[in-house]
Amino acid sequence: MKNALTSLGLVLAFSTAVHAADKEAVIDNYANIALAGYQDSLVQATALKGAIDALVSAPGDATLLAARAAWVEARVPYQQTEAFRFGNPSVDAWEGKVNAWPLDEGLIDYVDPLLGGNDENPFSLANIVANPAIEISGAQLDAAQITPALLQQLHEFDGIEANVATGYHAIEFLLWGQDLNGTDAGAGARPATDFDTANCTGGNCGRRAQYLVAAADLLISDLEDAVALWVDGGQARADLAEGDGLVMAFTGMGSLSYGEQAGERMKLGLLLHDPEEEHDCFSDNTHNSHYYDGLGIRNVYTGRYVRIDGSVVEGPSLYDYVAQRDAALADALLSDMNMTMMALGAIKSTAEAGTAYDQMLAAGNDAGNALIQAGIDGLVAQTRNIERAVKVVGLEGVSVEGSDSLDNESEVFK
Amino acid sequence: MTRLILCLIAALAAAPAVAQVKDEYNEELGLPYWAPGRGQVDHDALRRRSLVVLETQYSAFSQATADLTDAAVAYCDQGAPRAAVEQAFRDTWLSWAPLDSYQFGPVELNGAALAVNFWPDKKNFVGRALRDLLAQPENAQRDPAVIAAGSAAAQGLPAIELLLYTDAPECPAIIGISGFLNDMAGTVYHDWFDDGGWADLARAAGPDNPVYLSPQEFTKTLYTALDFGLIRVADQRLGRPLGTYERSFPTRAEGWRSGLTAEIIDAQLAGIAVMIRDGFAGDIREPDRAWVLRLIEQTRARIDKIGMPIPEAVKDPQTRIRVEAVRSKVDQIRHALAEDVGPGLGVDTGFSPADGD
Repeated sequence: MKNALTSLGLVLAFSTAVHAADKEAVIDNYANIALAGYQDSLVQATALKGAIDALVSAPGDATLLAARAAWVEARVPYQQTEAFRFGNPSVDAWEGKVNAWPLDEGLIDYVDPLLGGNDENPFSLANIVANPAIEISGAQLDAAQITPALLQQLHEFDGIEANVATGYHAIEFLLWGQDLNGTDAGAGARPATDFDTANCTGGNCGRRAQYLVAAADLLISDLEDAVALWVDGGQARADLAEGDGLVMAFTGMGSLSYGEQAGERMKLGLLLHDPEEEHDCFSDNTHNSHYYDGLGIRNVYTGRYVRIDGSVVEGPSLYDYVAQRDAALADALLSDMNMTMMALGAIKSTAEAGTAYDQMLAAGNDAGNALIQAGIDGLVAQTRNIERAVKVVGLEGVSVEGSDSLDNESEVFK
Repeated sequence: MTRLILCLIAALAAAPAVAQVKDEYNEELGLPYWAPGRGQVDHDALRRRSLVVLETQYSAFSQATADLTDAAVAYCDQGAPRAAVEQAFRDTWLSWAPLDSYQFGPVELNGAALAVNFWPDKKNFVGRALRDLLAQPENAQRDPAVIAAGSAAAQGLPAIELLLYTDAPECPAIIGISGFLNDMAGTVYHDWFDDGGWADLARAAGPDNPVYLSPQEFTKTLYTALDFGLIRVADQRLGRPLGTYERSFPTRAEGWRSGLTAEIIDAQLAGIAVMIRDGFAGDIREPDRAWVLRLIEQTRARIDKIGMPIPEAVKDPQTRIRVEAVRSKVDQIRHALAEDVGPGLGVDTGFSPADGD
């Protein structure tokens, strides 16, 4: 009898490890991972702000390198949250404030005259750091004080997406400067004296420092908004309850895997062989951005996120939910994601060993091109099984909004 | 690339192959008809018909690129009239337009969508890539292999357009680029339709297929592609130049330099109609099929009625509403697909390249 009780205990212990995949519990765990990810991003952004304050109060190589290191660390949790973007309308509406890309960085600060202009964007060389007033469509925009409010006003100005004035990539540009090495070794090499009002290089060092501090402040307040979306009672949780939380989760995973990461962020750059088309083009941190995007997708699927302090948020997962309906598919998708992580890991390890992502995508670098292509192939393959998983859990796909507001032929074409 | 697909096919060799011989079936347009929602859609028949549609379109594009290459050589090397190159260029773009919807399989694996038509070009990649190309010696510019090794932005139709419709020296670079396009068109055609190509992969749909686990999955891929094509038209081909009421962007229109903007959209819509009429055919129930085709006809009529180039029309509040009206009609087509066609076929849209931002 005693033995029987013991084995019953073992069975119970085992069955709690294989999470019961109740739909609400799966969605709740999904939201908890999102909350933890944005909280971690906020912690890291606050640390970044501290490092930036130290840089502008005592500009030097040590403080600049410390600020750059803080930026790289800040990206680790943030990139893992990107899996929450496309499926969740509140997050998608918010996201552009912090991770808009690609950018015409000449809007912000000085650039190489041959690298940074854009015929599509009249503000691609506006250089806010150098210009306390900017003429826009005949009107003057007062930029005498560079504040978070001014940056918000400039962001995606005039309906042009490349006018990125805020977020991680604006800060990245200010910390590193343009990478003028093309597809050769080396990242942006902005000198610390660009922030040194006593010994200023690049001109307008006080305004540049002002911009950097304002952008860091804004990043913090924007991430506070993201955390607020995911706490109990937050809008993102309300969206999940209102829509189909599982379809949102899968939509986020599939959209990031395929259209965004495999397509826009990886295939495009590979076909262009253009170092401007890498996600973190100033810092040469693209290998990490891609890796942690991939990991974020896997986190969502497996219902498990390792936080920046090493603690773990985990619970009933999408994997469990699919496995109860089609075990082979659940494992095939997990295997796909593991393959993707191996491929993205190869890009990361190669970059960390000294061959940066922009060198890998160079024309004629067959080995590097192949590494990137393997990452793309992995993401495309996992998208196929994400589609199948969506079908297995019996979900509806995207709905299309019709419009007949303009359907009165006689009015429109008179 | 063919080798990769052959490997995929080889993986199937052990499985009982459901060999399809093209001549086994008759024209199936319109018949037989089964009511939707009863699982009686004949996905094998739909695939057979759709592959005929695709083969016709890919073949036309391949022929057009060959003609364009000949015209470029005649113009640059033999002093033939420029109008012939411009005509061949237009024909090539309009033959590509229907294929823009089908960005999967060999097109995806060869990166053909971006190589053939690098658009939208948000950061002047085409201009910069052409600057690099024109800095090379003339014998390099005319070599398709040199074009192939370089940036995708200088490999396709927007690059030729920039050369033909600006002051840039078009010769001999247009020979190299059109030669590359002809090579790419041939590669994509062969990867699709040669023995062991993507079409065979679709024909061998089944549990052991590396891509299509059932015939229905190929239907889903085609259905998603049509929806993607409509998104491309609504959000990008029309939406980008439209911008907002306060701020339109005429030079964001595709083909604004050559004046092909509206014709490209029309050709893409026509291609979608052909797939629905001849490919999906009788596997969409008749009232739904007729309704979607009618909506497409109405949309094309609205394009005609804009009465001026789209880049011009978007600038003026009086005329931009006509472009907006085309866009709303395209949204209506999407709506009809989602409401009637997809459920009738028993499929839903999957992920597409439009899902990013």
